[in-house]
Amino acid sequence: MGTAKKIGAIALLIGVFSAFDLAIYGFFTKRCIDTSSEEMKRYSVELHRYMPFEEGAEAVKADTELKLSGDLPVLDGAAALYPVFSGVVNSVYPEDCVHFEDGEFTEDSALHYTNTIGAYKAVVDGDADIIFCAKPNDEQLSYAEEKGAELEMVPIGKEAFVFIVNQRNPVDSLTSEQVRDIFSGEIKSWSEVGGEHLPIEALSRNKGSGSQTTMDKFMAGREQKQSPFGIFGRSIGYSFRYYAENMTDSGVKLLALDGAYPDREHIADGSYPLASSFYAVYRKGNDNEQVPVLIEWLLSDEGQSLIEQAGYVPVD
Amino acid sequence: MSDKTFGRIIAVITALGILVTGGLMWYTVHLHSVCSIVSYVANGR
Repeated sequence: MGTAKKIGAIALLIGVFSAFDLAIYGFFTKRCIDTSSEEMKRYSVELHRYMPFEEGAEAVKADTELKLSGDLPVLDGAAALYPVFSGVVNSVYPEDCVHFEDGEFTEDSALHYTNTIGAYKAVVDGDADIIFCAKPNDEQLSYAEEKGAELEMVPIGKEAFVFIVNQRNPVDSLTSEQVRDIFSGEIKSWSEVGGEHLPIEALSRNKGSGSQTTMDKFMAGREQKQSPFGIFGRSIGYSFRYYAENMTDSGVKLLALDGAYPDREHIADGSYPLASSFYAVYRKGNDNEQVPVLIEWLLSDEGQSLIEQAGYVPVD
Repeated sequence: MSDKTFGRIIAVITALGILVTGGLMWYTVHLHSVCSIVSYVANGR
């Protein structure tokens, strides 16, 4: 083989490897890269953005005379509701009660953030006094029962469970039945629901997360299946409205469901079919005297105004 | 370029290529397990 051919073969080999790696990066790696902060990479939420008592942060503050002191109830909860419980701390807790080091809240902090799975464990184990979450799944209820903890769930606001697609996806609306068919693998192409001739990648979340528990209920016993070819098409996922819209720098599109767009108006009037309550959850028999005080405040006009200020819909 | 040199260059490029590709695939699997569903949809198609 002549030198020119040898150089050509070397160039071809480098080209093949480069093309293969670029294809992997373009199809798979790029869409997994989280472009937000370290905290968000770790927790899927920007903690500093809603940090209580921090100048420039977006934690809401209610106009109230209630100021808790002494044995403060420890708060924890879901990512999607972090603006609510950080707002509660910002409104009625003393300033020196929040301790945050190396990207996480310390044990002695009155504000914790361990997301739905961790929060349900924390309230059962007595590490948190009130958690802010969607309803628990069967596993979380079983854990509570096993530990002899009875959970009291007080609805304090409403939120919508939403289906999300990339901004470039031309589909704007689906019916509930179409969504179930997509996630159970019966509808495999976007063209079957008015979109492009591209496969559907139906994503799912980890078991025990608030959104996965809600999705399991929505699927009504139908198993979620994912097409292996979906990765080459456009994806569809699910989350809670406020989280998907505001808490990530995401640029996703929320889909209308059964003709109703998931905005505050359609959540409040009940026309969006997947609007549901979120809860302040505490252990029955918790002897912290400020737990009922805080629950009562959350249901008062002041508390409900905080829910609204935080971007959610108050209970009726 | 001698056949021996050519063979060595091909072996080195192949080894490097396999290493880089393997590393990229490992990194992708790791990212897939930690990234949020919202950012995955936003960064994808």
